[in-house]
Amino acid sequence: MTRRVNDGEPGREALEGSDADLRHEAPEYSVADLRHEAHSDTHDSNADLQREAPEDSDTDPQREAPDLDARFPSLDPWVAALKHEPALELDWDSVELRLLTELRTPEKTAPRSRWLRPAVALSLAAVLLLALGYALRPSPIVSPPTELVQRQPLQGESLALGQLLEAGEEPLHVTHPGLADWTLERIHFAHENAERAGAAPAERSGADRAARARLVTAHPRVTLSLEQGSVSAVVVPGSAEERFVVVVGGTRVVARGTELRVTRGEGEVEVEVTRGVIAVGPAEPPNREAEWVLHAPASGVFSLDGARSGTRLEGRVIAPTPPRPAPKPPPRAPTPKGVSAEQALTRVAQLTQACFAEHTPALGGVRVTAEATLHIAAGPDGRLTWRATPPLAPAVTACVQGKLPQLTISGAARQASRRVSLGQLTPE
Amino acid sequence: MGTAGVASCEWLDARVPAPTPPVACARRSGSQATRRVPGGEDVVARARAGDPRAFQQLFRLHRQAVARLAARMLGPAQRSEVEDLVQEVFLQVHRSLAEFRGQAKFTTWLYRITLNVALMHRRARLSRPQYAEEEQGFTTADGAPLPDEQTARNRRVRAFHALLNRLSDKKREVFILHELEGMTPSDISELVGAPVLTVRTRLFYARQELAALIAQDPALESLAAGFERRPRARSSERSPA
Repeated sequence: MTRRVNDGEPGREALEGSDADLRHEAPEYSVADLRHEAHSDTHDSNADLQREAPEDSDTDPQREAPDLDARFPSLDPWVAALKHEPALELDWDSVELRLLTELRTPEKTAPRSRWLRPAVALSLAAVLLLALGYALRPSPIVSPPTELVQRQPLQGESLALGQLLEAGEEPLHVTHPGLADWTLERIHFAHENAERAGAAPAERSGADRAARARLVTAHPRVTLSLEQGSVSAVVVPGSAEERFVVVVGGTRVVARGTELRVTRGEGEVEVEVTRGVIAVGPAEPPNREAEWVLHAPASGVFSLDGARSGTRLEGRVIAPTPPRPAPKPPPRAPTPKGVSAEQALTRVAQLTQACFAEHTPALGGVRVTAEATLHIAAGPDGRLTWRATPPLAPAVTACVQGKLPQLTISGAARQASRRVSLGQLTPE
Repeated sequence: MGTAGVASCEWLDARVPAPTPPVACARRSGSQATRRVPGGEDVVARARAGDPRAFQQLFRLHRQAVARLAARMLGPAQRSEVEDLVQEVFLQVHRSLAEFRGQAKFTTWLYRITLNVALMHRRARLSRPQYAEEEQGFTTADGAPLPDEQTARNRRVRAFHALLNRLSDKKREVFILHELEGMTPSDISELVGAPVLTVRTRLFYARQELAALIAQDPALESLAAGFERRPRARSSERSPA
């Protein structure tokens, strides 16, 4: 019936006819066999005949079984056309890389075995420990299991956060669609600046080591922690304030849509911007007031302590806003001048006289007098306290209290008393 | 997919058979497959033992065949869809490799996984909203339209995929495995876990249904007419033995 034809695959010859296959592979199954099996209630081929071919659900055990070798020539050209269908050209490197990356994640690699449950339990415990460690971390950089990924290109979304990426001889390219494309590579910095600065050969030996970085966040901001080597990036401009961040030690480099290159050296980070604007400042906590701003084309070398210092600055580099002088403290109220207890008592007596005269109601030519003993004393802080015996009228007391001068009693005597006569001649 | 034939025969052996029909290679050599790739015999064992390089080797050996079968099972598919499916197949292989005892051929086991993944993917795809499929403008690399013959061929392929999609999953997979992948009923029997007779029965009804669908659909006549205009040389290749 159906003929196999060369399907266009190199080296693949035309196959034998399928009918021949059928006869060859299953010679024991003749139509008679089929009838025999179709009569069996238990053999699933009978069930298949009815289940698999609903249009033949009226299959009757008595009905003659179909000739399984029947030919349908009208199918031949269609099958041939399908077999000639060209193969899809797949990006095998990408598939392989994605697969291997997936396999590196713990949940994908856990084999199904009798150890599965303990392994899952251990994995959960490990995840909890990692989460705890992450919560208590001194810096935002996580420390996950080390991974070595040297193949490329990489889709950023396929990378596990915290994964250590390493680039050896070949640079590592990573794409975050719509955000940024970045490349991790070894320091080729036969490092001009370092050479200019006369850096020791040991400092430049970093060029011989692989570049290493961790992906800390992937969306909506790409954040890398650069441990060694160099990162260059093209960042897609967008509305987000910070779309691409490279953290190097305690210093972070922020880009919002630009081309930049960040190279970690010994105790310093070299930053170069070829397009757009970047900012370099402290990583923890970020502080815009303390950021250096580099307008392309510009470059500079900054310390790893939050870019407190910047050297070898070239191009338009704006230094951080200098810290404002601390505001002057408000002038302190003048300390009351100290007086002796007697002097204080005299002033209190005068005040009491005045208040008594002010608040004693007029009684039509009647002179009202009163006698009282005034007591003054110095409080714990030296401040003056006052009272009268017998107590004066509330209005007079309130008046004295309100006008009591801020006096501090000094000297050995801390208190004094005096009997005073209070009175006034009311007006006619 | 197109280059799997040669490569698979090169490393064919009893334990790690070729992803393409072993029949093709075996018959070409006139006997059981005897050509082996040095070290190929224990690739599966090494992969089972956790050797990542062996697993990588397995992937590279079988990816073409898996992709071809997956693409045929899916019907017209985007490249990314097939790539995702191949990735999923090998993820499952990796997860389940410890359970593979070598009682069946590795490729049989691998094909079974591929079929399952493809079927699950198809069902998931069918459960999603379907949009009217636009006629794709087949273009060459330089953007120019393909020749008429190529366009017509693509239309025929798509039309036949549409017919295949109307078969039940079981009949469809048997038809594809036998007619397109070139597997024998006994191989398919092992693969799908059904008796040989059941496989042959499914195959018979699949053919019968497809022939009926072709006969019933007048729209296919114009497409089928194109077969008549195909070069006779190709027809002679298909002449009965």
